[in-house]
Amino acid sequence: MIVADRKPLAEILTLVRHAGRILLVGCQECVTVCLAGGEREVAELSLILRLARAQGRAQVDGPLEVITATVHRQCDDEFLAPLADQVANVDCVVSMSCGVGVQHMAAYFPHTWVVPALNTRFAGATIKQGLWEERCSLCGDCQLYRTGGICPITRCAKSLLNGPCGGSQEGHCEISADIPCAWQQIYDHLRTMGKLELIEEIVCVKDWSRARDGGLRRSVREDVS
Amino acid sequence: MNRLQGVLAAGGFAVTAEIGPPKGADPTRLRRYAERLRECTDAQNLTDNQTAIVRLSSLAACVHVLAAGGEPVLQVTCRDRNRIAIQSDLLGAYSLGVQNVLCLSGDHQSFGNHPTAKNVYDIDSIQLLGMVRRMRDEGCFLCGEEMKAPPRFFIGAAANPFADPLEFRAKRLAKKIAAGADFIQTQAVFDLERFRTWMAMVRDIGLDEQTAILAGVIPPKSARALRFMAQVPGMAVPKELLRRMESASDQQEEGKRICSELMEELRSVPGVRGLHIMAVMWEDVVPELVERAGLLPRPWQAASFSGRETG
Amino acid sequence: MRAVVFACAVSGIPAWQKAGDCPGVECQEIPCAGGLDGLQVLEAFLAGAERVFVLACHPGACRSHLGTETVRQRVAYLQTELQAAGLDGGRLVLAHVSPDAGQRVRRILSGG
Repeated sequence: MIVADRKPLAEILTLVRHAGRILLVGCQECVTVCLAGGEREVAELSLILRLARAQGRAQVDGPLEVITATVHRQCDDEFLAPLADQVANVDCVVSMSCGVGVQHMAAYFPHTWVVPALNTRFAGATIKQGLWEERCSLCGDCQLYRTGGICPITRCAKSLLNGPCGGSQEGHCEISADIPCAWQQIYDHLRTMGKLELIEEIVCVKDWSRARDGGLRRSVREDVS
Repeated sequence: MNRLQGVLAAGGFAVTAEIGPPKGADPTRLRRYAERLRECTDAQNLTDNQTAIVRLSSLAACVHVLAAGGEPVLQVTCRDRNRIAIQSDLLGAYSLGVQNVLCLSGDHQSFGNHPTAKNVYDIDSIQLLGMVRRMRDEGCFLCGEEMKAPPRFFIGAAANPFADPLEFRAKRLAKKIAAGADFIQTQAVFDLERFRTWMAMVRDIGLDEQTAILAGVIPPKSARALRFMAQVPGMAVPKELLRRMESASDQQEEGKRICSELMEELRSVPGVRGLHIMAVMWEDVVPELVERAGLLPRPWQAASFSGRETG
Repeated sequence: MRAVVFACAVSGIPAWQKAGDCPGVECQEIPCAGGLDGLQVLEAFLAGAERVFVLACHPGACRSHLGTETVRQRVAYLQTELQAAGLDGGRLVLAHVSPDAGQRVRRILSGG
């Protein structure tokens, strides 16, 4: 899923400082799972924004009226259409979705100012309650078959394809004792699986044209279009 | 043939040293170091924004070293440049007379003075080695396109016997050699026991005969400096060395003594073909260390040496 | 309304009952302080509460074990948010009480 976290309140307050009435929209997909932009987070941000504006401090324009909604998916037109009436009556839409949802909302309502309330962080998974970790860099050329299902592009700080580097020590990465060395993990897993020969092969330079570096990416299935 | 390659090709024992380029645009000190080191070392490594701290570029520093009569080793990391920039810099460096290159991954930018920078890592150090070798041996760019006047670099790589997993370290060296490493400069050795273990693994698979391994040393300038090094990821400093430095009345002298002892021990490790002295912020000490080790004069200073003339 | 109290059913509520009459203070029972609902806290402030108190068990005494730790983190988070919203975070108070600590609850509610 896409993992996001909420922007600091001060930043959101700045983004809505000229608005008197806003529509705060959550999303029931990924950001609900990572507790950043679901129904509950929408309710909480609504309360805290109203509280902040009720204080009448800090370069804000008086009380704020907040209308809330949480849609099934912000990255799909069909779920945005029912918001049209509410959108028409506000100064600004604050999206509590990932960057995809924010952009989709902005494109769907081209005459409305749409701002993000979240920082979209990464494609990851829940590791335990309250902890999410990155797992995929969306590079478009999956290498996991070489590494026993542990992604070095994502989990190695240098995205090495021929690791580990000289900074791997006692299982952790050179940048922090809190971060495991992905190549140590790969090594251990391949050893367990009896496939250490995989790590002895030289992996050639990667084709990054299928990653973000190749420009706007599209995925097409003509058989279903 | 250049000095470093010539010494190694003749079966000699090589000595190289590291020079850290300045954090500014004044090359005076850099040139002074180059002049001082050119007579006592076969080649001088110019670091590439080491520990991700911005310094005068390795390429420009190489040119200063050449002007001072030295023999530079261009250090190239994969952190700041993609395959286009690296190949371009390699052509530029060779055109200016730089003949040695050391291929590195590079320290992560979070260590340096621009921790919010975006890193590149388009390619890694092993892929970089392969790229430089392909330019030299096949006369083509990474994309396969042919080039005129390919750069004929003497290609080096780093190896860290103290990083984990130990049992993979010799195999990773094998990958570097297969990719193109003509010579190796290791991480600084303080833990001789671990170094010997690694070298035994290296010899077991015959790697010492496929490349020239230069063991790295750092003369510790103070107990504080040594304590700092002990905390650097990928460095191993035995506790007794720390104690020795701390209890010394003259720490600089003790540092030199420790380094000289390590150099002596390392020379006797089978498969070690040279030493690489990284006197960080203490480049002035290198001539004395080489002299104490009895490694002067350098082989290329003899009239009969077949390599390039001095200067 | 001067203050709102969220009291744990095990410790906070018996203590609150022993505290006697506290005019202007409204008390809500929660099964465990660890289940404190941040939304209710924010709503209380928005409704005009001067202060909000959370009465939890003493660390180690929580029947659901993790309740005291959870509520500590939740209160810290809410205090940060309140501060960012321009309120004094100190207006949200977490207190650990025994079931019979009526007098202490009285003192806490009066700001002592």
